[in-house]
Amino acid sequence: MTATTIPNTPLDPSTIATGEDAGPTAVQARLPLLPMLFRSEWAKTKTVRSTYWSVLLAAVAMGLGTVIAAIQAKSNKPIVDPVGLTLGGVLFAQLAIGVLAVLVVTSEYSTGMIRSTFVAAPQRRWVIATKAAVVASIAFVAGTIASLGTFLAGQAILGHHGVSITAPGALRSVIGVGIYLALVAIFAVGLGTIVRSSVGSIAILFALLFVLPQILTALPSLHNIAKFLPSTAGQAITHTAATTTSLSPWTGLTVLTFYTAAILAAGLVIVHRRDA
Amino acid sequence: MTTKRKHSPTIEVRGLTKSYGQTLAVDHLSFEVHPGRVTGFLGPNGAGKSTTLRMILGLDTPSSGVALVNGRPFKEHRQPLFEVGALLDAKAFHPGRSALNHLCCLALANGIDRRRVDEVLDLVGLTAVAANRVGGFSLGMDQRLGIAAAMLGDPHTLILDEPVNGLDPEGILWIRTLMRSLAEQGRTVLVSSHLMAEMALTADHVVVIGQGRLVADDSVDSIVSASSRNIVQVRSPQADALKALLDEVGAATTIGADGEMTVTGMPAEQIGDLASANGITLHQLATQHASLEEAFMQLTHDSVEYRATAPAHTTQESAA
Repeated sequence: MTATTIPNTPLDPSTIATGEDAGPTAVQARLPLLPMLFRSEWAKTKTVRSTYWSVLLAAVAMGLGTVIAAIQAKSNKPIVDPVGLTLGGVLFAQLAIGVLAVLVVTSEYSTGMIRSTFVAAPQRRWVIATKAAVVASIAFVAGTIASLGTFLAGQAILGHHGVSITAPGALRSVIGVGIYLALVAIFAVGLGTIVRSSVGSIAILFALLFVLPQILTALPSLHNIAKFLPSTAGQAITHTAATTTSLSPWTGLTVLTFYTAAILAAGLVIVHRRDA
Repeated sequence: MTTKRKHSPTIEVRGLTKSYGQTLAVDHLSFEVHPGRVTGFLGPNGAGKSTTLRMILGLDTPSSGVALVNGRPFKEHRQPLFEVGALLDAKAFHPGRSALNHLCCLALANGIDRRRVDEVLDLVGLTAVAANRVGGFSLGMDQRLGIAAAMLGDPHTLILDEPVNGLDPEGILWIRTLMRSLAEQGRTVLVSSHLMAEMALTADHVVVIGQGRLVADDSVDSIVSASSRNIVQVRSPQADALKALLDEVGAATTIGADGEMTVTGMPAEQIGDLASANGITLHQLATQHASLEEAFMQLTHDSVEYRATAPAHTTQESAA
């Protein structure tokens, strides 16, 4: 950064708008709270680089589904679930979206921005809820687009083993990825609000969504527990073939929704009570 | 602006208390801040200044007591930037955003127009660097950005926590001029500092706290004169006899190496009368001219003594 000198601008009191003869910009319009908060949080999210990196990373991770499809196509093994197969990248995409959503809250605590935020908007619970809405929207839109792209490319690679988007469960699975990632984003906002530290929140999130399911799924005796974990339950939405190791698609998504609602609610209670 | 608003306090703190476990950071603090003047909020580091300001701004929840801004708790204001502008610390922003984007994010939260963002950037002289990431800003520019954020809603009340900390003389002069001109426009300016000399130049009124408790709430002039009255330099050939007399009536005395006696806790007139009544000759009897710095040291180091001799003040009962 080169321009680090203080601009030598002497203060002219006449440039300070006073209460009496302020210009039109200083007139206070009574605006509804939520649209104001949403525009503010949206602007915050799009003005930091980490948002773009996270979304790009999530899209690349979803794209891994095409690689899985290519490997599978060459192996000539029977394909049980061609839809779920090409959407397997969600396992990694959820981590990128989770990091984005955690940082939306924790970066404000680590930089001190949270104090500016809460002085401008003391309705803390609404601020956190709005953050959740913003990242959930981003996760849903980006997730659904990446999911659809991966699905179409993956099915093309699978050739005659592939299915079309009109196949049973295909559209539900593709959109389901968007819904799943949106829920993960809300979950991560709640977690970040409770923990406040970026590193701590990301570590807990990765353990819950990624490491724990890997360990429990590897042990057949624990499958009945594993399928109720947030990520394994939620990812059932991408399955088009019934398995004993996972819940049915909508049941699974409902289970994840309960986890998400619980952790967000805990975050809202805590942010309201705790000193900022 | 109505006459009523000019004379009623814009910030009211009543019985404000904050405890962390067994520690009382702020202890039943009560004071008012009025418009049209710069009110200094003084106290040594750790006296509870920042905690008090954070409670006024709704960031920390008081253990008991209330802090009102324009008659309501801060948290009840839906577009608070129009009521209060705050500079809490110089780095309350994300370093990856540009100055312009930082201010836009805050402005949007209160429905403030983009044109006002340009106005405040201009006001603090950051227009030329508005597109730069704030992570590369110098401390002086950080402070200007903080002031710009505080001025976004063109608020009637400004709360500035240690605004001159770490600034160069040019920056200090800039902030001082800004605070004076804001007060002259009839706004309420509450500025915390541990630098007494700085407050002597800027503030009209000071609220002094020590260990979370109110020590003084008075105009700068009367605090300085009250302190001055309490430090008297005395020279006498019968210094020991005088010291004994003064000790007896409870005034504190110290005798320097050059034989000059410093008396605190008793005005010069009384010392003179006491000496005369006992036939003691005085060669010098002078009230020391105290600076606000000295007054502050005296206040915070021996607040009990000050309260015993200071004129009765409505807000002092809470500190008793």
